[in-house]
Amino acid sequence: MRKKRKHDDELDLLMSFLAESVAQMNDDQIREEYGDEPGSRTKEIFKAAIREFGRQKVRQARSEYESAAKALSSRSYNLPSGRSERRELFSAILSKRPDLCSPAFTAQHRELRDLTDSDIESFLRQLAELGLLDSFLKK
Amino acid sequence: MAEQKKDVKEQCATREDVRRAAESLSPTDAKRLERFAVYRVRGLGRKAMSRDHEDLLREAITSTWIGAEDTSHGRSWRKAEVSFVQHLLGAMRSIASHWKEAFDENEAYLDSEMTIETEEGETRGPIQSAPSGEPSQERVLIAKEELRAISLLFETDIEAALIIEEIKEGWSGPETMRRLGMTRNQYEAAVRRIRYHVK
Repeated sequence: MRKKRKHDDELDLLMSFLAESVAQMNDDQIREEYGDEPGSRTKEIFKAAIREFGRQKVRQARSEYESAAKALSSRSYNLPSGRSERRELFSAILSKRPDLCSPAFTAQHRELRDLTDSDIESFLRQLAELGLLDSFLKK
Repeated sequence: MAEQKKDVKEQCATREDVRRAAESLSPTDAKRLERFAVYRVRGLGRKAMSRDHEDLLREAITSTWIGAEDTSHGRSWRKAEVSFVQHLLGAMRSIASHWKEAFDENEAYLDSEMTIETEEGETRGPIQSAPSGEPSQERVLIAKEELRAISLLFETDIEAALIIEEIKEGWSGPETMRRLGMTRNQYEAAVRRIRYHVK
C-alpha cells in the first residue's frame, strides 16, 4: 500500500497523467477526440510571443540607452568652460585623431559651423567617458 | 573540446529553425500542445498563481527562443535529437514543475514570516494546521472539491473510477492494468473516457 497523498498532489498526479496521455496520442486519435473543438490558438500564441520578445528587447535597449545618456549628461567632466575653447578642442581632436570620429561625422561636420554647441559638448563628454580626452587637455 | 562544442552548437536549433517549426506546426500538434498545457496547469491548481495554459505555452516558446541564442539562459532545442513538439512538451513539464516548486518555497517562506507568538507562548501561523511546506487548507479544499466533481462524473463507470483511484495513488499505467486485471484495450478505452469527460 502506498502512502496516502494530499488532495492537491492527487489532483496534480491525475492531471499530469492526462497530460502525458495526450502527449502519447497519435494524430488520428487527436483528430477523433478533439476534432469537434475550436482550432487551437497555439500557433498564434507562439507567433505573438516571438514578436513580443523582439519588442521587449527594443524597449530594454532604448531604456538602457536613455539611462546611459542621462548618466552621461549629468556627470561632470573637466571640459573647457567656454564654447569657443570647446570648439578649438574639438577641432584639435578632429585633426590629430580623425579615427575617433566616424568618417560620416568627420565629412559632414568638417565645417564646424554645421555643429551645434550641444553636438560638440556631447562628443567631448563621450570622449571624456572613454578616458580619451585627458591627453588632449594636457597638451 | 572545441570540436565537441561545435557539435553541440550544430545540434541546437537557431532562431530561424524555431520560427519555421512554430509556423509549420500541424493542427494536431498544436492541439496536442494545447491540451497538454491545459492539463498541466489544471493540475497545479492555485500553485499556477492565476497563470493559464496560454502562459505555459508562451513561456515554453519564449524560453526556446532565448535558448536558440543563449544556451545558458533559455532552453535550447536539440533538433537532431528530439522533435520540436517533444522539446516543447519537455519545456512545459519543466516550467510547470518550476512554478510548483516556486509556489511551495514562497508559501513556506510567507507562512514562517507571518508566524506570531501568542501570550501563552504558542506560535501561530496564518494557516495554523499547515506547517511550512505543507499545502494550505484552502488549496487542499479546492483540490478536494475538484477531485470530488471528477469522481461524480464516473459514478457509473467503474473501470474509469478505479483507474482514477490508481493514478491518484501514483501507480503507473502498466501497474494499474496488472493490479486491476485489465487488458490494454480496456485500459485505453477507459482512459479515453476519462479524457473525454475531464477537459
